[in-house]
Amino acid sequence: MKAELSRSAFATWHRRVLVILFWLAVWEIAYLLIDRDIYFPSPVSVVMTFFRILAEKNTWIIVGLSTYRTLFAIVASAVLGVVIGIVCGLRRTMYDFVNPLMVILKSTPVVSVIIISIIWFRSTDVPIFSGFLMCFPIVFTGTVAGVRSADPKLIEMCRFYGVGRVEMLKSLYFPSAKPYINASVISIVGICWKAVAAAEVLSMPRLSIGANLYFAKTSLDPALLFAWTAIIILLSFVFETIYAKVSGYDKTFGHQ
Amino acid sequence: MIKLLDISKKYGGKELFSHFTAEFKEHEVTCILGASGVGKTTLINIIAGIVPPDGGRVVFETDGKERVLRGSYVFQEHRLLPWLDVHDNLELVLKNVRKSDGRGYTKEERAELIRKQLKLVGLEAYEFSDINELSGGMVQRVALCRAFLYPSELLFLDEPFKEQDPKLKDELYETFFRAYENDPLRRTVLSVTHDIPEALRLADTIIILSGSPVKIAGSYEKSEFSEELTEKIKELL
Repeated sequence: MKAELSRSAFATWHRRVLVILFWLAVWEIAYLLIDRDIYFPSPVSVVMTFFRILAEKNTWIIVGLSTYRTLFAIVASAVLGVVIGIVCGLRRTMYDFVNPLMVILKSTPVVSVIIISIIWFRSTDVPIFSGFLMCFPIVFTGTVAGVRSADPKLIEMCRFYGVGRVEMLKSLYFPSAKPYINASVISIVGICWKAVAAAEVLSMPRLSIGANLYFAKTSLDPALLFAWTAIIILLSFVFETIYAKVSGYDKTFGHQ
Repeated sequence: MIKLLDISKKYGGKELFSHFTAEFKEHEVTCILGASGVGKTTLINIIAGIVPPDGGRVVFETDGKERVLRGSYVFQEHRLLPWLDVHDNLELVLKNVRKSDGRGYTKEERAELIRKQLKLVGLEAYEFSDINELSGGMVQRVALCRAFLYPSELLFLDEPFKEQDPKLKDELYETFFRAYENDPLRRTVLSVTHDIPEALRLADTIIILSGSPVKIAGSYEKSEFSEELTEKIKELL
Protein backbone atom coordinates (compact mmCIF):
# COMPACT_ATOMS: atom_id res chain seq x y z
CA MET A 1 0.00 0.00 0.00
CA LYS A 2 2.77 2.40 1.07
CA ALA A 3 4.87 1.41 -1.95
CA GLU A 4 1.86 1.99 -4.23
CA LEU A 5 1.35 5.45 -2.76
CA SER A 6 4.97 6.46 -3.17
CA ARG A 7 4.91 5.12 -6.76
CA SER A 8 1.82 7.24 -7.55
CA ALA A 9 3.38 10.32 -5.86
CA PHE A 10 6.51 9.77 -7.93
CA ALA A 11 4.40 9.48 -11.10
CA THR A 12 2.64 12.77 -10.26
CA TRP A 13 5.93 14.59 -9.74
CA HIS A 14 7.38 13.00 -12.84
CA ARG A 15 4.41 14.30 -14.85
CA ARG A 16 4.72 17.78 -13.35
CA VAL A 17 8.44 18.01 -14.16
CA LEU A 18 7.72 16.88 -17.73
CA VAL A 19 5.02 19.57 -18.12
CA ILE A 20 7.40 22.26 -16.84
CA LEU A 21 10.16 21.05 -19.18
CA PHE A 22 7.69 21.08 -22.09
CA TRP A 23 6.73 24.72 -21.49
CA LEU A 24 10.35 25.75 -20.97
CA ALA A 25 11.10 24.15 -24.35
CA VAL A 26 8.21 26.09 -25.95
CA TRP A 27 9.61 29.29 -24.39
CA GLU A 28 13.12 28.56 -25.68
CA ILE A 29 11.78 27.83 -29.20
CA ALA A 30 9.78 31.09 -29.14
CA TYR A 31 12.92 32.92 -28.00
CA LEU A 32 14.95 31.39 -30.82
CA LEU A 33 12.26 32.27 -33.38
CA ILE A 34 11.89 35.89 -32.21
CA ASP A 35 15.65 36.19 -31.71
CA ARG A 36 15.48 39.65 -30.07
CA ASP A 37 16.48 39.73 -26.37
CA ILE A 38 14.94 43.16 -25.99
CA TYR A 39 11.45 41.82 -26.82
CA PHE A 40 11.57 38.33 -25.46
CA PRO A 41 14.28 37.04 -23.09
CA SER A 42 15.54 33.47 -23.04
CA PRO A 43 14.53 31.21 -20.13
CA VAL A 44 18.21 30.82 -19.25
CA SER A 45 18.77 34.57 -18.88
CA VAL A 46 15.56 34.93 -16.83
CA VAL A 47 16.55 32.10 -14.48
CA MET A 48 20.03 33.58 -14.09
CA THR A 49 18.59 37.07 -13.40
CA PHE A 50 16.10 35.53 -10.97
CA PHE A 51 18.87 33.97 -8.88
CA ARG A 52 21.04 37.08 -9.20
CA ILE A 53 18.36 39.35 -7.72
CA LEU A 54 17.57 36.79 -5.03
CA ALA A 55 21.20 36.97 -3.95
CA GLU A 56 20.86 40.72 -3.35
CA LYS A 57 20.03 41.71 0.24
CA ASN A 58 17.79 44.56 -0.93
CA THR A 59 15.54 42.13 -2.84
CA TRP A 60 14.42 40.50 0.41
CA ILE A 61 13.54 43.89 1.91
CA ILE A 62 11.58 44.75 -1.26
CA VAL A 63 9.82 41.35 -1.27
CA GLY A 64 9.10 41.71 2.46
CA LEU A 65 7.52 45.16 2.07
CA SER A 66 5.41 44.17 -0.97
CA THR A 67 4.35 41.00 0.87
CA TYR A 68 3.36 43.11 3.88
CA ARG A 69 1.20 45.37 1.66
CA THR A 70 -0.46 42.41 -0.07
CA LEU A 71 -1.03 40.53 3.18
CA PHE A 72 -2.52 43.64 4.78
CA ALA A 73 -4.93 44.09 1.84
CA ILE A 74 -5.89 40.38 1.84
CA VAL A 75 -6.50 40.23 5.60
CA ALA A 76 -8.46 43.51 5.64
CA SER A 77 -10.65 42.51 2.69
CA ALA A 78 -11.17 38.98 4.05
CA VAL A 79 -12.11 40.14 7.56
CA LEU A 80 -14.38 42.99 6.44
CA GLY A 81 -15.78 40.97 3.52
CA VAL A 82 -16.76 38.11 5.84
CA VAL A 83 -18.21 40.34 8.58
CA ILE A 84 -20.21 42.60 6.25
CA GLY A 85 -21.09 39.61 4.03
CA ILE A 86 -22.57 37.72 6.98
CA VAL A 87 -24.63 40.74 8.07
CA CYS A 88 -25.87 41.32 4.51
CA GLY A 89 -26.50 37.59 3.95
CA LEU A 90 -28.79 37.57 6.97
CA ARG A 91 -30.43 40.96 6.47
CA ARG A 92 -31.95 41.65 3.06
CA THR A 93 -32.29 45.39 3.78
CA MET A 94 -28.60 45.66 4.58
CA TYR A 95 -27.76 43.74 1.41
CA ASP A 96 -29.89 46.07 -0.72
CA PHE A 97 -28.13 49.00 0.92
CA VAL A 98 -24.53 47.71 0.47
CA ASN A 99 -24.80 45.78 -2.80
CA PRO A 100 -24.84 48.78 -5.21
CA LEU A 101 -21.45 49.82 -3.80
CA MET A 102 -20.13 46.29 -4.40
CA VAL A 103 -21.45 46.26 -7.97
CA ILE A 104 -19.65 49.55 -8.64
CA LEU A 105 -16.42 48.32 -7.02
CA LYS A 106 -16.51 45.07 -9.02
CA SER A 107 -16.91 46.93 -12.31
CA THR A 108 -14.37 49.69 -11.60
CA PRO A 109 -11.10 49.25 -13.55
CA VAL A 110 -8.17 48.63 -11.22
CA VAL A 111 -6.27 51.51 -12.83
CA SER A 112 -9.03 53.99 -11.90
CA VAL A 113 -8.86 52.80 -8.29
CA ILE A 114 -5.07 53.19 -8.30
CA ILE A 115 -5.12 56.69 -9.77
CA ILE A 116 -7.74 57.95 -7.34
CA SER A 117 -5.79 56.31 -4.47
CA ILE A 118 -2.64 58.14 -5.57
CA ILE A 119 -4.54 61.41 -5.09
CA TRP A 120 -5.84 60.35 -1.66
CA PHE A 121 -2.98 58.40 -0.05
CA ARG A 122 0.80 58.19 0.43
CA SER A 123 2.58 56.08 -2.20
CA THR A 124 3.19 53.23 0.30
CA ASP A 125 -0.53 53.02 1.17
CA VAL A 126 -1.86 53.13 -2.40
CA PRO A 127 -1.16 49.42 -3.09
CA ILE A 128 -2.88 48.39 0.16
CA PHE A 129 -5.99 50.42 -0.57
CA SER A 130 -6.13 49.33 -4.23
CA GLY A 131 -5.66 45.65 -3.31
CA PHE A 132 -8.34 45.96 -0.64
CA LEU A 133 -10.88 47.58 -2.99
CA MET A 134 -10.30 44.92 -5.65
CA CYS A 135 -10.63 41.97 -3.21
CA PHE A 136 -13.23 43.08 -0.69
CA PRO A 137 -16.27 42.75 -3.04
CA ILE A 138 -15.20 39.21 -4.02
CA VAL A 139 -15.09 38.00 -0.39
CA PHE A 140 -18.31 39.90 0.33
CA THR A 141 -20.17 38.24 -2.57
CA GLY A 142 -18.83 34.79 -1.66
CA THR A 143 -19.84 35.19 1.99
CA VAL A 144 -23.34 36.42 1.13
CA ALA A 145 -23.83 33.42 -1.19
CA GLY A 146 -22.47 31.10 1.52
CA VAL A 147 -24.75 32.43 4.25
CA ARG A 148 -27.74 32.16 1.91
CA SER A 149 -26.79 28.56 1.12
CA ALA A 150 -27.52 27.53 4.73
CA ASP A 151 -30.06 24.69 4.71
CA PRO A 152 -33.52 26.20 5.46
CA LYS A 153 -34.50 22.98 7.26
CA LEU A 154 -31.58 23.40 9.66
CA ILE A 155 -32.53 27.07 10.14
CA GLU A 156 -36.09 25.97 10.94
CA MET A 157 -34.78 23.39 13.44
CA CYS A 158 -32.56 25.96 15.18
CA ARG A 159 -35.37 28.50 15.38
CA PHE A 160 -37.80 25.87 16.68
CA TYR A 161 -35.41 24.87 19.48
CA GLY A 162 -34.76 28.53 20.32
CA VAL A 163 -31.04 28.42 19.47
CA GLY A 164 -29.55 31.88 20.14
CA ARG A 165 -28.45 34.23 17.35
CA VAL A 166 -24.74 34.05 18.17
CA GLU A 167 -24.89 30.28 18.41
CA MET A 168 -26.74 30.07 15.07
CA LEU A 169 -24.08 32.25 13.51
CA LYS A 170 -21.28 30.13 14.97
CA SER A 171 -22.80 26.69 14.47
CA LEU A 172 -24.96 27.09 11.36
CA TYR A 173 -24.31 30.11 9.17
CA PHE A 174 -20.52 30.28 9.42
CA PRO A 175 -19.93 26.55 8.72
CA SER A 176 -22.41 26.76 5.79
CA ALA A 177 -20.56 29.76 4.37
CA LYS A 178 -17.05 28.39 5.01
CA PRO A 179 -16.54 26.65 1.62
CA TYR A 180 -17.66 29.83 -0.18
CA ILE A 181 -15.43 32.03 2.00
CA ASN A 182 -12.43 29.77 1.42
CA ALA A 183 -13.00 29.71 -2.34
CA SER A 184 -13.22 33.50 -2.48
CA VAL A 185 -10.16 34.02 -0.25
CA ILE A 186 -8.14 31.59 -2.42
CA SER A 187 -9.19 33.53 -5.52
CA ILE A 188 -8.33 36.97 -4.04
CA VAL A 189 -4.75 35.95 -3.26
CA GLY A 190 -3.75 36.06 -6.94
CA ILE A 191 -5.93 39.08 -7.67
CA CYS A 192 -4.46 40.99 -4.73
CA TRP A 193 -0.85 40.35 -5.81
CA LYS A 194 -1.73 41.63 -9.30
CA ALA A 195 -3.52 44.71 -7.96
CA VAL A 196 -0.75 45.53 -5.47
CA ALA A 197 1.96 45.14 -8.14
CA ALA A 198 0.01 47.37 -10.56
CA ALA A 199 -0.51 49.97 -7.83
CA GLU A 200 3.18 49.88 -6.94
CA VAL A 201 4.12 50.44 -10.60
CA LEU A 202 1.98 53.57 -10.71
CA SER A 203 2.49 54.94 -7.18
CA MET A 204 6.20 53.97 -7.03
CA PRO A 205 6.88 53.33 -3.35
CA ARG A 206 10.70 53.35 -3.10
CA LEU A 207 11.04 49.75 -1.89
CA SER A 208 8.53 47.70 -3.86
CA ILE A 209 8.35 44.97 -6.49
CA GLY A 210 6.23 47.27 -8.68
CA ALA A 211 8.90 49.99 -8.68
CA ASN A 212 11.44 47.36 -9.78
CA LEU A 213 9.10 46.22 -12.57
CA TYR A 214 8.95 49.84 -13.71
CA PHE A 215 12.75 50.14 -13.46
CA ALA A 216 13.14 46.95 -15.58
CA LYS A 217 10.87 48.50 -18.22
CA THR A 218 12.70 51.86 -18.35
CA SER A 219 16.08 50.14 -18.50
CA LEU A 220 14.83 47.88 -21.30
CA ASP A 221 15.73 44.76 -19.36
CA PRO A 222 12.99 42.16 -20.10
CA ALA A 223 14.93 39.42 -18.27
CA LEU A 224 14.72 41.50 -15.10
CA LEU A 225 11.01 42.19 -15.76
CA PHE A 226 10.33 38.46 -16.17
CA ALA A 227 12.39 37.63 -13.05
CA TRP A 228 10.40 40.05 -10.84
CA THR A 229 7.18 38.75 -12.38
CA ALA A 230 8.27 35.21 -11.52
CA ILE A 231 8.78 36.33 -7.92
CA ILE A 232 5.18 37.66 -7.80
CA ILE A 233 3.84 34.41 -9.30
CA LEU A 234 5.84 32.33 -6.81
CA LEU A 235 4.68 34.42 -3.85
CA SER A 236 1.07 34.21 -4.99
CA PHE A 237 1.37 30.42 -5.34
CA VAL A 238 2.98 30.11 -1.88
CA PHE A 239 0.22 32.26 -0.30
CA GLU A 240 -2.52 30.21 -1.96
CA THR A 241 -0.92 26.93 -0.91
CA ILE A 242 -0.46 28.05 2.70
CA TYR A 243 -4.08 29.25 2.92
CA ALA A 244 -5.37 26.05 1.33
CA LYS A 245 -3.36 23.95 3.82
CA VAL A 246 -4.45 26.00 6.85
CA SER A 247 -8.13 26.09 5.87
CA GLY A 248 -8.24 22.48 4.64
CA TYR A 249 -9.47 23.65 1.22
CA ASP A 250 -8.75 21.43 -1.79
CA LYS A 251 -7.42 23.88 -4.42
CA THR A 252 -7.80 21.39 -7.24
CA PHE A 253 -11.42 20.50 -6.73
CA GLY A 254 -12.71 23.16 -4.37
CA HIS A 255 -13.65 20.65 -1.66
CA GLN A 256 -13.40 21.30 2.07
CA MET B 1 -55.48 20.04 26.54
CA ILE B 2 -54.51 21.27 23.10
CA LYS B 3 -57.43 22.91 21.33
CA LEU B 4 -57.54 23.78 17.65
CA LEU B 5 -60.26 26.35 17.22
CA ASP B 6 -61.69 27.09 13.79
CA ILE B 7 -58.38 26.57 11.95
CA SER B 8 -58.28 27.51 8.25
CA LYS B 9 -55.31 27.11 5.96
CA LYS B 10 -54.87 27.38 2.21
CA TYR B 11 -51.88 26.04 0.26
CA GLY B 12 -51.40 27.08 -3.36
CA GLY B 13 -55.07 27.95 -3.77
CA LYS B 14 -56.17 24.60 -2.25
CA GLU B 15 -58.20 24.80 0.94
CA LEU B 16 -56.44 22.33 3.24
CA PHE B 17 -58.29 23.20 6.45
CA SER B 18 -61.57 25.04 6.74
CA HIS B 19 -62.94 25.82 10.22
CA PHE B 20 -61.14 22.74 11.53
CA THR B 21 -61.63 22.07 15.22
CA ALA B 22 -59.98 19.35 17.32
CA GLU B 23 -58.77 18.57 20.82
CA PHE B 24 -55.78 16.55 21.98
CA LYS B 25 -55.32 15.18 25.47
CA GLU B 26 -52.28 16.04 27.57
CA HIS B 27 -49.57 13.59 28.70
CA GLU B 28 -50.39 10.94 26.15
CA VAL B 29 -49.36 9.92 22.65
CA THR B 30 -51.81 10.95 19.95
CA CYS B 31 -51.17 9.66 16.46
CA ILE B 32 -52.61 11.65 13.61
CA LEU B 33 -53.16 9.17 10.82
CA GLY B 34 -53.88 10.12 7.26
CA ALA B 35 -52.98 9.41 3.65
CA SER B 36 -49.91 11.09 2.14
CA GLY B 37 -50.56 14.74 1.29
CA VAL B 38 -53.73 15.03 3.36
CA GLY B 39 -52.22 17.81 5.52
CA LYS B 40 -50.93 15.96 8.60
CA THR B 41 -47.56 17.72 8.67
CA THR B 42 -49.21 21.09 8.07
CA LEU B 43 -51.52 20.40 11.01
CA ILE B 44 -48.73 19.67 13.50
CA ASN B 45 -46.69 22.55 12.09
CA ILE B 46 -49.65 24.83 12.83
CA ILE B 47 -49.79 23.46 16.40
CA ALA B 48 -45.99 23.77 16.72
CA GLY B 49 -46.13 27.39 15.55
CA ILE B 50 -43.94 26.74 12.50
CA VAL B 51 -46.76 27.44 10.03
CA PRO B 52 -49.22 30.23 10.87
CA PRO B 53 -52.89 29.41 10.19
CA ASP B 54 -54.87 31.72 7.89
CA GLY B 55 -57.63 31.76 10.48
CA GLY B 56 -58.47 30.34 13.89
CA ARG B 57 -56.16 29.69 16.80
CA VAL B 58 -54.34 27.04 18.81
CA VAL B 59 -54.89 27.06 22.55
CA PHE B 60 -52.86 25.20 25.16
CA GLU B 61 -54.92 24.82 28.30
CA THR B 62 -54.02 23.40 31.70
CA ASP B 63 -56.54 23.42 34.55
CA GLY B 64 -58.76 25.74 32.57
CA LYS B 65 -55.97 28.31 32.10
CA GLU B 66 -54.33 29.20 28.80
CA ARG B 67 -50.56 28.67 28.76
CA VAL B 68 -47.63 29.10 26.43
CA LEU B 69 -45.95 25.73 25.95
CA ARG B 70 -42.54 24.79 24.60
CA GLY B 71 -42.17 22.06 22.03
CA SER B 72 -39.59 19.57 20.80
CA TYR B 73 -39.69 18.23 17.28
CA VAL B 74 -38.39 15.10 15.57
CA PHE B 75 -38.53 15.91 11.88
CA GLN B 76 -38.78 13.50 8.95
CA GLU B 77 -35.07 14.12 8.32
CA HIS B 78 -32.69 14.13 11.28
CA ARG B 79 -31.81 17.83 10.88
CA LEU B 80 -28.55 17.49 12.79
CA LEU B 81 -25.66 19.79 11.91
CA PRO B 82 -23.29 17.56 9.93
CA TRP B 83 -20.16 19.47 10.97
CA LEU B 84 -20.82 19.01 14.70
CA ASP B 85 -20.40 15.79 16.65
CA VAL B 86 -23.25 14.14 18.60
CA HIS B 87 -22.44 15.98 21.83
CA ASP B 88 -22.29 19.42 20.19
CA ASN B 89 -25.52 18.80 18.28
CA LEU B 90 -27.29 18.00 21.52
CA GLU B 91 -25.65 20.80 23.48
CA LEU B 92 -26.74 23.32 20.85
CA VAL B 93 -30.41 23.15 21.89
CA LEU B 94 -29.58 23.49 25.58
CA LYS B 95 -27.36 26.56 25.40
CA ASN B 96 -30.20 29.07 25.33
CA VAL B 97 -32.49 27.25 27.78
CA ARG B 98 -33.32 28.94 31.08
CA LYS B 99 -34.12 26.90 34.17
CA SER B 100 -37.03 27.79 36.47
CA ASP B 101 -34.67 30.03 38.49
CA GLY B 102 -33.98 32.04 35.33
CA ARG B 103 -30.38 30.87 34.97
CA GLY B 104 -28.98 28.86 32.09
CA TYR B 105 -27.38 25.43 32.39
CA THR B 106 -23.65 25.35 33.11
CA LYS B 107 -21.40 23.41 30.73
CA GLU B 108 -21.12 20.62 33.32
CA GLU B 109 -24.90 20.44 33.78
CA ARG B 110 -25.39 20.26 30.02
CA ALA B 111 -22.79 17.50 29.72
CA GLU B 112 -24.48 15.52 32.49
CA LEU B 113 -27.93 15.84 30.88
CA ILE B 114 -26.52 14.80 27.50
CA ARG B 115 -24.77 11.74 28.97
CA LYS B 116 -27.96 10.63 30.75
CA GLN B 117 -30.15 11.04 27.67
CA LEU B 118 -27.64 9.33 25.38
CA LYS B 119 -27.56 6.37 27.78
CA LEU B 120 -31.36 6.10 27.52
CA VAL B 121 -31.22 5.84 23.74
CA GLY B 122 -28.19 3.53 23.87
CA LEU B 123 -25.72 5.90 22.25
CA GLU B 124 -23.45 6.77 25.18
CA ALA B 125 -20.46 5.29 23.33
CA TYR B 126 -21.02 7.64 20.40
CA GLU B 127 -21.14 10.95 22.28
CA PHE B 128 -18.16 12.39 20.45
CA SER B 129 -18.71 10.66 17.10
CA ASP B 130 -19.21 12.67 13.93
CA ILE B 131 -22.77 12.61 12.63
CA ASN B 132 -21.51 11.34 9.26
CA GLU B 133 -20.01 8.27 10.94
CA LEU B 134 -23.39 7.10 12.30
CA SER B 135 -25.91 4.85 10.58
CA GLY B 136 -29.37 6.14 9.56
CA GLY B 137 -31.01 4.54 12.60
CA MET B 138 -28.41 5.92 15.01
CA VAL B 139 -28.77 9.40 13.57
CA GLN B 140 -32.55 9.26 14.06
CA ARG B 141 -31.93 8.12 17.66
CA VAL B 142 -29.75 11.21 18.18
CA ALA B 143 -32.64 13.32 16.84
CA LEU B 144 -35.01 11.60 19.30
CA CYS B 145 -32.47 12.15 22.06
CA ARG B 146 -32.33 15.88 21.19
CA ALA B 147 -36.12 16.15 21.38
CA PHE B 148 -36.26 14.51 24.83
CA LEU B 149 -33.25 16.47 26.06
CA TYR B 150 -34.86 19.82 25.29
CA PRO B 151 -37.16 20.79 28.16
CA SER B 152 -40.63 21.03 26.62
CA GLU B 153 -44.22 20.13 27.31
CA LEU B 154 -45.01 19.02 23.76
CA LEU B 155 -43.22 16.60 21.47
CA PHE B 156 -43.97 16.55 17.75
CA LEU B 157 -43.04 13.53 15.67
CA ASP B 158 -43.33 14.00 11.91
CA GLU B 159 -42.92 10.47 10.53
CA PRO B 160 -39.36 10.17 11.85
CA PHE B 161 -39.33 6.39 11.36
CA LYS B 162 -40.58 6.54 7.77
CA GLU B 163 -37.37 5.76 5.90
CA GLN B 164 -36.26 2.88 8.15
CA ASP B 165 -36.53 -0.87 7.48
CA PRO B 166 -38.93 -2.89 9.72
CA LYS B 167 -36.19 -4.20 12.06
CA LEU B 168 -34.73 -0.74 12.56
CA LYS B 169 -38.24 0.69 13.05
CA ASP B 170 -38.77 -1.78 15.91
CA GLU B 171 -35.52 -0.65 17.51
CA LEU B 172 -36.52 3.00 17.13
CA TYR B 173 -39.96 2.37 18.69
CA GLU B 174 -38.20 0.69 21.64
CA THR B 175 -35.85 3.66 21.92
CA PHE B 176 -38.80 6.05 21.80
CA PHE B 177 -40.68 4.19 24.55
CA ARG B 178 -37.57 3.96 26.75
CA ALA B 179 -37.08 7.73 26.48
CA TYR B 180 -40.83 8.46 26.83
CA GLU B 181 -41.34 6.27 29.89
CA ASN B 182 -38.28 7.74 31.61
CA ASP B 183 -39.24 11.29 30.72
CA PRO B 184 -39.70 13.32 33.92
CA LEU B 185 -41.59 16.00 31.96
CA ARG B 186 -44.40 13.60 30.88
CA ARG B 187 -44.67 15.29 27.52
CA THR B 188 -47.75 15.37 25.34
CA VAL B 189 -46.78 13.64 22.10
CA LEU B 190 -48.36 14.42 18.76
CA SER B 191 -47.19 12.00 16.11
CA VAL B 192 -47.99 12.11 12.43
CA THR B 193 -47.93 8.97 10.31
CA HIS B 194 -49.59 7.16 7.43
CA ASP B 195 -48.41 3.80 8.81
CA ILE B 196 -51.33 2.05 10.60
CA PRO B 197 -49.21 -0.53 12.53
CA GLU B 198 -46.97 2.31 13.74
CA ALA B 199 -49.97 4.30 14.98
CA LEU B 200 -51.40 1.25 16.74
CA ARG B 201 -48.04 0.60 18.39
CA LEU B 202 -47.28 4.13 19.54
CA ALA B 203 -50.62 5.78 20.21
CA ASP B 204 -52.91 6.13 23.19
CA THR B 205 -55.34 7.83 20.84
CA ILE B 206 -55.54 7.68 17.06
CA ILE B 207 -57.13 10.48 15.06
CA ILE B 208 -57.89 9.80 11.41
CA LEU B 209 -57.76 12.68 8.97
CA SER B 210 -59.25 12.53 5.50
CA GLY B 211 -61.01 14.61 2.88
CA SER B 212 -60.41 17.99 1.36
CA PRO B 213 -60.77 20.26 3.27
CA VAL B 214 -59.57 17.94 6.02
CA LYS B 215 -62.07 16.49 8.49
CA ILE B 216 -61.64 14.13 11.41
CA ALA B 217 -62.91 10.81 10.06
CA GLY B 218 -62.53 8.96 13.34
CA SER B 219 -60.98 9.05 16.79
CA TYR B 220 -60.09 5.90 18.73
CA GLU B 221 -58.74 5.18 22.22
CA LYS B 222 -56.18 2.47 22.95
CA SER B 223 -58.91 0.27 24.50
CA GLU B 224 -60.62 0.13 21.10
CA PHE B 225 -57.52 -1.02 19.16
CA SER B 226 -58.21 -4.35 17.45
CA GLU B 227 -57.94 -6.25 14.15
CA GLU B 228 -61.37 -4.94 13.14
CA LEU B 229 -60.29 -1.38 13.86
CA THR B 230 -57.28 -1.85 11.57
CA GLU B 231 -59.62 -2.84 8.75
CA LYS B 232 -61.92 0.08 9.54
CA ILE B 233 -59.01 2.55 9.51
CA LYS B 234 -57.89 1.19 6.13
CA GLU B 235 -61.35 1.92 4.76
CA LEU B 236 -61.39 5.42 6.26
CA LEU B 237 -58.00 6.26 4.70
